[in-house]
Amino acid sequence: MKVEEAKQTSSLKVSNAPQVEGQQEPPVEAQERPTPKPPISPTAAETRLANELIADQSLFYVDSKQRKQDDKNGTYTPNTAPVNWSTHFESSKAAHPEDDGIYTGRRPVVSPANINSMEQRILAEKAFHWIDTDWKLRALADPTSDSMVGTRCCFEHERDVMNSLVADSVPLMDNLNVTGKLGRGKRLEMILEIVSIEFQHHHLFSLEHVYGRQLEERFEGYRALLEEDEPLFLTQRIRGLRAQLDTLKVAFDQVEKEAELDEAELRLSNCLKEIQQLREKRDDAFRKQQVALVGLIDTWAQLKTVRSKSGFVSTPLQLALKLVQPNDARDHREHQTDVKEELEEKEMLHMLGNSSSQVAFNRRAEQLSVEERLAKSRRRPGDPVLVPDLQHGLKMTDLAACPAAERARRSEVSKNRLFVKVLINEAEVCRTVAHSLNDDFLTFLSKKVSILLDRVPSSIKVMVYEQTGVRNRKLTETYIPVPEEETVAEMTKSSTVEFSIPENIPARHTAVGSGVAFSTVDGKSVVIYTSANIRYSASWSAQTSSRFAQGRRKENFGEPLKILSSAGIRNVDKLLKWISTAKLDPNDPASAEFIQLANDLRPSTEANYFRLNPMQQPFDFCTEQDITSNKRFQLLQQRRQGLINFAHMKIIPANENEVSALLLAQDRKRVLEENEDLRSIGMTKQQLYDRTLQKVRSHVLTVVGNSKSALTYEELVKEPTLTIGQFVEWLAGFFLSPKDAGQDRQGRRPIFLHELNLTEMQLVVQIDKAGSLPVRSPAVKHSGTINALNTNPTNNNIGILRPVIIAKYGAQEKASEVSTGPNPVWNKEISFRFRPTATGTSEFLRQPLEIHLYDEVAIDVLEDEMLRKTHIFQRLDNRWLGSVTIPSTALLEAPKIEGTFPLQVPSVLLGYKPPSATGSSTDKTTHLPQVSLSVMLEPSLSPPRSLKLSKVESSEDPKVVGLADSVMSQLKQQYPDRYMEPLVINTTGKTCLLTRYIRPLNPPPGVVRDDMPIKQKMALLARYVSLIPLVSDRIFQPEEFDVWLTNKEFLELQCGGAKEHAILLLSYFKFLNVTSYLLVGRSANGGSRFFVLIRSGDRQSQWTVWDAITGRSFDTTAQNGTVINVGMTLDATNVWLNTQRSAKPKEMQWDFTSGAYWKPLWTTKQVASEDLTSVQPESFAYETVPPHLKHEREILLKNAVVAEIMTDRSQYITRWNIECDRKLYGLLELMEAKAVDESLTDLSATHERELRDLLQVYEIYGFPLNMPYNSVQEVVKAVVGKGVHRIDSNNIEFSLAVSVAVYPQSVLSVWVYLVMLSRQSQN
Amino acid sequence: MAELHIIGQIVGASGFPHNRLFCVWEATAGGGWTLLQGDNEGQTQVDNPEIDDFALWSHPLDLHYATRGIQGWPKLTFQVWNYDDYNRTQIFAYGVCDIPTTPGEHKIECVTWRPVGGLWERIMRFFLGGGPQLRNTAVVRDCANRHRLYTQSMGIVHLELGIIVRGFENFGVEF
Repeated sequence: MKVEEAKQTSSLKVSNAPQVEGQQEPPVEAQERPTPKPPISPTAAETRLANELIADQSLFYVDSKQRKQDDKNGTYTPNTAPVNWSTHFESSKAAHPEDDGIYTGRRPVVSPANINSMEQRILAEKAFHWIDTDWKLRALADPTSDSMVGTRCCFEHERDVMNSLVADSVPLMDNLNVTGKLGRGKRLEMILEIVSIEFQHHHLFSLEHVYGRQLEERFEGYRALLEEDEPLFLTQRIRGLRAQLDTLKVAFDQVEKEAELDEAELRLSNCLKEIQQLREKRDDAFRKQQVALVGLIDTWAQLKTVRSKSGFVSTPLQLALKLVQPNDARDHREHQTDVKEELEEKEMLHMLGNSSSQVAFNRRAEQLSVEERLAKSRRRPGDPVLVPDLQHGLKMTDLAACPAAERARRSEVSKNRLFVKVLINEAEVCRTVAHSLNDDFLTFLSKKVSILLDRVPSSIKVMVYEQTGVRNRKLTETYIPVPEEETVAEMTKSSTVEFSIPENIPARHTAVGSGVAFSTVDGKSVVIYTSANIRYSASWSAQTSSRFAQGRRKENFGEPLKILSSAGIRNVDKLLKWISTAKLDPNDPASAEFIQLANDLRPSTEANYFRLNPMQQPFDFCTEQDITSNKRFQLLQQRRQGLINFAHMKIIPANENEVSALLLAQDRKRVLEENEDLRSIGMTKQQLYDRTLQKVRSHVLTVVGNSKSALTYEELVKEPTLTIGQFVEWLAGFFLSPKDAGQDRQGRRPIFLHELNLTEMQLVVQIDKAGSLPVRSPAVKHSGTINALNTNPTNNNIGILRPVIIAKYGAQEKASEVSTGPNPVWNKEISFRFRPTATGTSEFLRQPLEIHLYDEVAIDVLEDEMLRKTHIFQRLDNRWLGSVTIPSTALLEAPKIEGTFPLQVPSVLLGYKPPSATGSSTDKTTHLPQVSLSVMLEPSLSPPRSLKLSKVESSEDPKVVGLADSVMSQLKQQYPDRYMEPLVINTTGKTCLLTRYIRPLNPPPGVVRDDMPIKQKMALLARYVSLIPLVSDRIFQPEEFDVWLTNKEFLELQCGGAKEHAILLLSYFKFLNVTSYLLVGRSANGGSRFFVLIRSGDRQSQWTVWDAITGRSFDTTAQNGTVINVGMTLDATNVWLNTQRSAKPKEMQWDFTSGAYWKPLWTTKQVASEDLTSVQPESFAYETVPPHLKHEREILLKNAVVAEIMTDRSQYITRWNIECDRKLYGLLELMEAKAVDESLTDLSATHERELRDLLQVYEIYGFPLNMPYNSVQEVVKAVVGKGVHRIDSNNIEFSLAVSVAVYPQSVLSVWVYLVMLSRQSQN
Repeated sequence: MAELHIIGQIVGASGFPHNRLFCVWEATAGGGWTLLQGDNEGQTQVDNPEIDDFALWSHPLDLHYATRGIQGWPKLTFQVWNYDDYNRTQIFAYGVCDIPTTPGEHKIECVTWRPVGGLWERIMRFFLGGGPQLRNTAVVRDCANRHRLYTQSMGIVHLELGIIVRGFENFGVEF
């Protein structure tokens, strides 16, 4: 509309313009008239100049009269008279499109004056295109709609609607996590309409009203009777029975047999009797109609009496009686047939019944009686038919003409107003406007509301109120039935609900009152109570109803089945078969259920999915299957999920056909791995262990949540905290001269595990010095002469050593310079650079750093003595002396590992002897060979967060967990560097108390004997435990946690982490009744966190710590004990947390009863000891080892080592000295027995004595190695890695012996003796 | 099967009454769409511009879809939240925008709105903050129930999206 108006005005402007110009010069142009002369006349030149420069200097004036005239001429004012368009159009009549059924809409309301002036103007402009064919100004339909439902404004319960979408007010949240969503229930929309209230009686009814209602009632009743038309129905039935009678009669006549005669007779008489009954019924029906008609007319007469008595009319009712003349002849004929037929029947019945008595049928008398009865019940044939008709057209007497009483009544009626409240589930939903009562006591309320509901309401209540003046009086309350689910708004008819009010209101004015007696026309006294009908309609909106229908459809599936199974049909297949063969009519409602059932059950193969949008399919490019089976998409999605095989893939091919080959390769790899799982023999112990725990770990991680997404703020943001000292320093920087740049350099910030693969790492090993190294044995000298040593003038000393360090990390191997003497100093920094890849992270960190100490021996190989003066020709052999292994995972715990570590040296090292210079001392420990070094990672790794165990499901009593939590959180703040955590995760993925892991366990049979001293028993058991292979139990994830195996699982798996070793050892010690505890702390080399603490003496200070991995023990008072930081100790009954100032064992008190030193986690009151049942097995049945295992393994290992050495020395000839082998094997057999026996110190002497014969001929270098059996590869690697065979000469012989000591449960102790024999030169 | 690759960023937001803002976003697509890679929902950091009224997030979007039809083309919905001086968060606006259906670089300005609530709620909001928020954010991208809402327009979320389509030409959809 707006657009059209705009057009209108613009077109007006254009058309106006020439008109105006033609009539009058516009005032603008008037300004350009020649100027009047100025008062002072300048020279002509000046004037010209001025005129050229300045257009007009004088003021222009138009007098008001002229201006008015101009205005009048220049403007056009249309008059407001209506335009007679008929003269301007060709057609004589205006066309009305709405008459032709074209929708035109309602025109917006504009005042006629405006329309007229607009039309006048259009007429003046001759812009007839603005006029429509109906000769009216063109206009669009009124855009405002006045429909009741559907627009926002008509929601009665608007607040409810808003609430369905918008919360009232959401309290502010204190955190940033706002992704939580709230669901919204579906709402049902009910449409309720209160149409009207019609009073059947009201206390303001006049007597005339009472009769009026009665009249209406009776009229309705009569009309209902007529509509029902029972006589006609009965007549038809009689006609039918008569036809039957005829056939029966024929049959009766044809009957010949006696027996059949009786039966036919009986049938005939029954039929006759039925006909007679029907006739009587028909007469009754006729009579009923007549009685109703009479009553109606009677009431009408009474009403008329009331009117004539009162002298005024207050109801519009009027009964018109019409006389209709029926078809005379037909009427008579029907009457005659009726009589005749009835007589016939009676006669026949008489004959049948009284065939024996022979009483004659009195035809005449019977005819009279029939006719009499008919006359009583029906109108006589030929009589006119009375047709009553109730009309509402009577004019009521004007108020003025009425008597005062009636006037008062009427005014009271008009003052009486009604309104209705609707309550749903007892909550008010809407109320109507108050409408005044009409004279006919019918109030139209016409209130339509739509109500949104959460569920189908339990009740709808309507309360009717009467409003007189400002006072509201509740008339009644009544309930409306809740609409059926299938009632839809568009299709519902209104229904009524009736109520009556048992109240007594006295009669006033001309009214009769309610509940009080009043006298009727015929003088009777009647009491009537107020009653009324409420007309309403309640229904659901179409959407809601369809939702119901959906719900029903879902239920439908089960319903017929239910019916059937209750009826006893169980075989559905049979039923389906029957349905298909029975050819049920699908349109028959009776069989609809079966058809539905068949449809539901049959297509289960194809329609077992739910399609949201069934129309989607025609638009699809491809099927869902195509996308899911696309290999490239699979690969992408698997990469996204971080599946281990695909997580590291950076580039994925763009085409599917390129992917398939890759995927196939991956698949094959996976299949291979799975096969390996089946025969776990090929697996290393580490893989076995990992696989066992992988499930638990992934389970726990999924429970706790994706560790990647749970990065802490510190992991994301590097935020150096500014201390006051730093601030002051910074301030001072303004005044002081700039410092050396190097001094300000900050260390690189530690990196987190999750960013490990982004940076290049550097492992820096600083080797300071070594001490108490073995020196070359003089025994070599005694037995013969070595050329090299002998002839080399510089190396003339016996007991000389040229130690060199070779550090190994992964595949990298770096050596230091050569130093001299048994206490060498290097001060050498060795660094390994590596870049962990996504998959290789854990591999890199699992590799230990090995530091080997070698003696560089120069062997003269100059053969020509003549050249000796001018040439030096030597071969340098590296001879292994010992090594230190540092697990690189230790670097996770501490940024730098620093200290003096004992060198692991073989018990016998042929060709070397302990340094003799300080050999006088009796204290052995201080003179064990050792290395001082420090290891650090650059940049350092931040330690993995320990998993929040409170997040993991616990099998413990929540009370205990809460107790532990509260105690721990306090202590952890106080002692951040002490390891305290009483909860651990077991193999079911739940947390439990660590104390449950401690329980005595029977030691393996045959390892200890009862008659042994306790110390020896302990040593032997420790050795047994240490022989179980150790695997790394660390995982490299940002959130770290251990999974604890029980002793049973550990022993069955035959490998485990440090914690399992410690627990097993503790269990054995407990079995020996040794006072023992599990000590949790940190070790110097970062290897283990778990140790066994035992009380070794009576005195308070005599405690010994056992390291279960090495099987060694040391006193708590020892200077260089392995444990450097004690966090807590525990046994099966309680946990004691270290609250002492120092965490170093030698500075600590071990009195667990003292609260000042140790804080127990709980008191005995808090946790009863019965609750602390152990998860450990009570005993373990150790598997005995088959006798052939020892021999098998020995051969296997020996062959493997020999093969490895042969391939390594493929350029040279490798000779094996069989005689030596035998001797070595004999020595090895003794070694295992003496392994724990510390009294046998001088093993080397024994060995030398044994090999005396060989030492005459050979220079011998070699050593026995002892190790737990992990796998063949590991043994070979350990032996070959020492490099005994790496001698670039053919004149060397080797000797190898492998001995395996077997313990129960297939725990093997492997001894390998590898010896190099080089023939001494004979000169 | 065709592929749609969306690479871009949520640049920031402007025109909000307070500027310490963050945004919770979600990408939704129809049933025929499979997310191959990328996160389809996320939350930006809280940005507090000191001088301008343009909160910058530069939050990267990297979504890769495979589809079997063009129905249910992906949409991005936004919730802009304010993080106030008392460390409280309150909803500021909701917005939705379609991923462009043509390949290339697109700069999109997504206008946003928030539900207003009644007079009392407005008074509460004026003094205390907070205010009504949608119970179900699906209303933001759902056209069925929007007419019930009474909203107030808020600022603009700025987006820069690069669209790459692949394989649509096999099915007669050309760009």
